[in-house]
Amino acid sequence: MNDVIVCRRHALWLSMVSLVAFALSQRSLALGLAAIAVAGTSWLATSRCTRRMLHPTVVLVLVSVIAFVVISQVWPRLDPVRIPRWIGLGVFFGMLVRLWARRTMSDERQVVLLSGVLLVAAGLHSIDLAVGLLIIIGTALAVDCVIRFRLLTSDALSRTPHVPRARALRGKTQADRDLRQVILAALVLSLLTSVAIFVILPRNPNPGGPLFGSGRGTRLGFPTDLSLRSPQWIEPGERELLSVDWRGPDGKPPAVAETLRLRGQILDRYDPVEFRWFARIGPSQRFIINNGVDRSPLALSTIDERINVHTLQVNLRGLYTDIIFTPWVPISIRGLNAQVFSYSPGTCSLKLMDIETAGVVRGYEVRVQPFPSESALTALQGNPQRLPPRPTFPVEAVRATALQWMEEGGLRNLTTDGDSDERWARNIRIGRAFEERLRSTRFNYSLDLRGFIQREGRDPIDLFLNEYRFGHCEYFASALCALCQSVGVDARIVTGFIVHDYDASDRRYSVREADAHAWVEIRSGNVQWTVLDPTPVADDTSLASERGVWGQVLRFLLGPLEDAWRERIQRFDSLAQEEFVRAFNEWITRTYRQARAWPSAVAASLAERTGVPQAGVVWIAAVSVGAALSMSVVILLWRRLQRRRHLLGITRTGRMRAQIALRDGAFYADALALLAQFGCIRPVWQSPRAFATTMQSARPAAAEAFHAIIDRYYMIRFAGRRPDAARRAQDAALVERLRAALAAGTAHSR
Amino acid sequence: MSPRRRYHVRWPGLVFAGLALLIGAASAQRTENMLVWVFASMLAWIVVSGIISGGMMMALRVRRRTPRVARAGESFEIRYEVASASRLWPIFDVTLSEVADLVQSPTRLEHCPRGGHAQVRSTLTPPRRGILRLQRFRCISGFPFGLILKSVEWNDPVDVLVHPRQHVVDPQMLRTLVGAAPGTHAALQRTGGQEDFIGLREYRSGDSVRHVAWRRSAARMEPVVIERAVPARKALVVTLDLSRTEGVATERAEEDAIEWTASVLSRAHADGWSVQLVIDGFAADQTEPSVLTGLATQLDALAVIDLIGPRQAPQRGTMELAAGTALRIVPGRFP
Repeated sequence: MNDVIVCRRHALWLSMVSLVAFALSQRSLALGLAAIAVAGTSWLATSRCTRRMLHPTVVLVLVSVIAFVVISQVWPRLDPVRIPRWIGLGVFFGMLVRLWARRTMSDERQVVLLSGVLLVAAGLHSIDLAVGLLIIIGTALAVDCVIRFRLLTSDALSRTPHVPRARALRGKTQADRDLRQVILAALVLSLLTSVAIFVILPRNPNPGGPLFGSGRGTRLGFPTDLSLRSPQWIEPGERELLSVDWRGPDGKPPAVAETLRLRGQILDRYDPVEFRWFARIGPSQRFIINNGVDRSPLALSTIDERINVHTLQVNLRGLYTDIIFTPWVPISIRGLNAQVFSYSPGTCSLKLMDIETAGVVRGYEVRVQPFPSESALTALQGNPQRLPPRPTFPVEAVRATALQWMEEGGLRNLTTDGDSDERWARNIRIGRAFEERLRSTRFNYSLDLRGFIQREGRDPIDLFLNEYRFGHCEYFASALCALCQSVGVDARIVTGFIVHDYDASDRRYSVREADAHAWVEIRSGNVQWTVLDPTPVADDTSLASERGVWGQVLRFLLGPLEDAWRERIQRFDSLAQEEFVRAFNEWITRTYRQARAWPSAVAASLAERTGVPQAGVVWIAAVSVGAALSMSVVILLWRRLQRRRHLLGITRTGRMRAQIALRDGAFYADALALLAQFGCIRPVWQSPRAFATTMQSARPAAAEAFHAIIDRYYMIRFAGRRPDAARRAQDAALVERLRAALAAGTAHSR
Repeated sequence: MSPRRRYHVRWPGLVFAGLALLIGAASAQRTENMLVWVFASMLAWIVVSGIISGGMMMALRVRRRTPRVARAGESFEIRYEVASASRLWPIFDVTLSEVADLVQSPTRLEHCPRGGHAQVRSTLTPPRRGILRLQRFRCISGFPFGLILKSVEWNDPVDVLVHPRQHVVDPQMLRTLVGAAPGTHAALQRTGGQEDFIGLREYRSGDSVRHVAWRRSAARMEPVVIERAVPARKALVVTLDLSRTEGVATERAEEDAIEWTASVLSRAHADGWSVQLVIDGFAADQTEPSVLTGLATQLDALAVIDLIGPRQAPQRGTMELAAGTALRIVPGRFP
């Protein structure tokens, strides 16, 4: 097997890994697959036939075009976000070109270098599990490639015509095996050292500070507004964001899992220019300081918590946000660590105040009343002194649609005059009518909005209602809320999660990316709000089935991996370091104590099992130690015997003959060891006599003595002349003579 | 002889370190832990490179073996016997060279197994005759990543006696030279080719088995060989006159004369002549210059001639053993 082909193949693997990693970081699996196809084809086409490679001129032209495109995209706006992406793209396509023109070692080095750049670029753009694993694999492949290329390049540079080349590294020779072991050792050491440095590097407790990656930006956030300029294709992710432990009023988990609706952000204002729903800043907010131990009530006055109060503990996993998710309606809260919350009475929503400085929030515990009394709601929201003004909607086309629908539904005669009860009743009637219409077959639910082309001068809600009539929950909720507001109905959009996934074994809800949802709340009283969900498949498990079966199957395989990746790598920050140090100290202390207690425990166990008193246990321990020492001596002697066999070249002889040779020829082995001690190591390819001859000029006395030893050894080994005791003494004297000759003088080796 | 160990930083290592610092700075500013991982990996590479190369070079043991003599202008072989004293790390990609301003072919050791041996050869071309002293030799390696080079130098002084450069001397030319020189006579010719029996002697190490007298050996119960007389060879006395009393007295001319003397001696010995060499005109404290026999001794003597030394009038002049057996070489006059 040719060294060059092996190196080129490894470089190809590295390039493939880097290409796929970068493509996945750009969320384009198709691009990655196409890159693999191009790379694989380049190998098949050009590995043995350089004529199929691209001409250098063609390569130059293509690279120039790529460089021009990158510069033209980057130069006008020197955006720090765009620059790495476009440079990565340039390197991506440059790599594909280079794979089709690898003629020299310099080209191969370029491939390795470009792969490294791509891996770094991928790391800049994404921290998903797949990308991260590919980066780690790519790093390992890079170690292998760099070592192999280094050997190959040095050999090529050192070779001159008149100097015979050293033995080549090919096939399964000892050199090949050693090289693989060195590469493996380098990989393992690199991995362990990288992990150690990754763990030890100081993190800034303040996210975004000057120290090394706090991990905050790597976790998913939750949008504080709702934009209708959304991606054209929403991929329902299976990543777990929250977990919710639900306890009923009796403190037990629910017997039957129900759909859990978690409220997050409340949005009631629409920007017709940006096509964006945002939250109106409430007139009053209260700050709730929680010590992490006791629950802090949200109401100004006491709420009777004996009636139908449920407890939820929400643990944040892959989510980083200051929004507190609770069902309707929260009455008290406790953070899992000391926190300050802000409570908005108008919307009964909570937010975290100090996420920017306090580091990671692990979770919180809220108590909710799903069906609160008016007095409870009044205590939570305050008693409004006057009716709020009727809302309006800034897009006239939506109002026209709403009036048309009201006309068609026979609701046109519902006036806006009247007292509050009439107003609330009107709200409910109109809201339900609009909801029913949106949930009818005239509208379709879809995550694929590639066909939803926004038009200049037309609002997306108008387009949704009157032209396309398909979209996802944000469009349905936006449409309902817009329709309601346009005819004076108090409505607001609520974004959060609707959860169906209840793990009966763990007794908890798993909230995933795909559970994100938007719905509408209609004011149905002074302090009451009613939930309306216009999305056609929102309130049953069929929504879950929309995600696809394969996602759920892989979830069980990837879930633990993603959890570990997220917890150990993505979210590794200063708090995680402190926890690691604390856990490590605890482990050390615990291990030390166990080690100290172990001898006593073993002794007690032995005494109990054998019925032997403590003194007997000591005797047993002494015998055990003696046995261990004896075994060690036996092993040492056996190893010495094996070394001597190897040294004397005794491999395939009869047992008796081997023993005779080993015992009687031990003086020869001692002589060889003595020579090695003085720096005269006999090469394995050289006969003893030839070796002695080479010593003649440098150490004549030692050579002469060694000659005599060789003669004696040959007589024993090959002539079968077994020495008696006197002869053995003479042989030992020869060794001493050799020792004296070696110690006497040192001449330069010649 | 404790070796000297040094580090050499080259531009790939500097570039890599710079990149690592750059990525470290970027990872400190941004919040991606993957970037921190990349930075950690780059630092790990530097650390691992030091561990592997350090373990490898610390276990390196090298012995240099040189020939006793060499010839000016011709390459001679230096052997480096490499041994690995480590049971853990094999040795890869080590370049060996002499720390001297000499023309030496690059020598690279690809691989030496852990606890094993390997041998590499290099050639060295001495430019001129004399005593070539080799002092230090160096082993340098950048394995595994080439970021930092590590070198180990041993100080092992050894002298190589460099014989004078030799030219091609045609046998006819030699006879012509011997015949053309003043006072020379035709070389002594001997007829006959039978070898005379001298006697029996005991067997010595190196004797040919073909010379063993088997019957006598069986009778005596010990090996004996037949000793025969060898035919006498033609005799020649070559005198190298460096007294500067005649001829050209430049160093270049004298070097040429030395080279031609060596060439003639080699040719004569190859043709079966019994040659004696006299180096005349040197050493004020020497009453009579020595008569040197044996090609090796003669070449050694020519190799160590120091032309800077004081000269004196020739003592022996042209020596003749018999008619037609002398050749006198004078610098600048030798054809």
